Amino acid sequence: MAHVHLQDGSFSLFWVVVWWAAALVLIGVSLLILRSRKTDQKKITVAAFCTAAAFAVFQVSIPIFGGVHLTLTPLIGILTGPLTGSLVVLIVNILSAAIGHGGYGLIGANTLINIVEVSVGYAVFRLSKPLMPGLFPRAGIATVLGLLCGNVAMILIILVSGIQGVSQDMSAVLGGLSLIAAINMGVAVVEAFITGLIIAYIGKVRPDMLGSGGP
Amino acid sequence: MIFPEGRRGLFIFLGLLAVVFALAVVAYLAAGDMGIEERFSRALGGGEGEGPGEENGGGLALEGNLLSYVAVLGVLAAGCYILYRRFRV
Repeated sequence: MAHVHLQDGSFSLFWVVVWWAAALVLIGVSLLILRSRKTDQKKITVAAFCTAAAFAVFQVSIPIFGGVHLTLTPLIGILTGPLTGSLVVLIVNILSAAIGHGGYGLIGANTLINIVEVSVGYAVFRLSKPLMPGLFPRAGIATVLGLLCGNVAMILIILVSGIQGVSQDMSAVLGGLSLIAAINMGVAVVEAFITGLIIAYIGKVRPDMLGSGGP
Repeated sequence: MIFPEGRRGLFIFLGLLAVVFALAVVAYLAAGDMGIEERFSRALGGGEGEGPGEENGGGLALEGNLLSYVAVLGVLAAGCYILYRRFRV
């Protein structure tokens, strides 16, 4: 559940623009590739449901480890792929910022972090099929690794950007962020079980929704 | 049967979860009980009240400003509509 939970003004305007531009480049590439392909109405419907579900779980604080939230980003990656998934996480981040969950200026950075989670979740789920045919563990492992990479991306983005008004040195900030990432991964355990069960259920009743990654 | 025939993947998954969960518990005990916003604020050297960025006027200052939120949201909505009409996927 990597997400930069900071207010607008935490990043300097330069880094706000840099992360927004990087996110928009990825979104633009996704749009171009999607436009060159045949429109898959079923995938668009799934993406719409994923957007609504992800936005909802973003706002629900789970009372463990002091209060955290799920993201469902690896599930989005598994169900819609990284191209459509990148659009889904952009919308979720915009809507979340609109209600004060993360600043507007951090949408770019948060979208990049979530794109990492979506892409790694998708890739691990697909690539590990020959090693682990079972959907439940495969989806669970894809979720854990996707969220782990998302947390690493979050730390890197914050360290590279720097935070305005922070007096701590880099090593102290890295230590604090590492603790946050480790605690986030505790919630990844919950998210891995949920994702694993959802994917196992979908694989049982609608295996066609999982494409080549299915059973 | 929701757990598939292959057990190897399940063992790897549960082992991974055990390691990750143990690390999370250790980190939680080290950091103390607090919400995610406060945890971020502490990690970055802020106090318990305002988060980083609020005392420094150098960045964007939309937080808590309803008019700014509405204005930015309106611009985003208009931009999305134009992009949708221009690049309909």
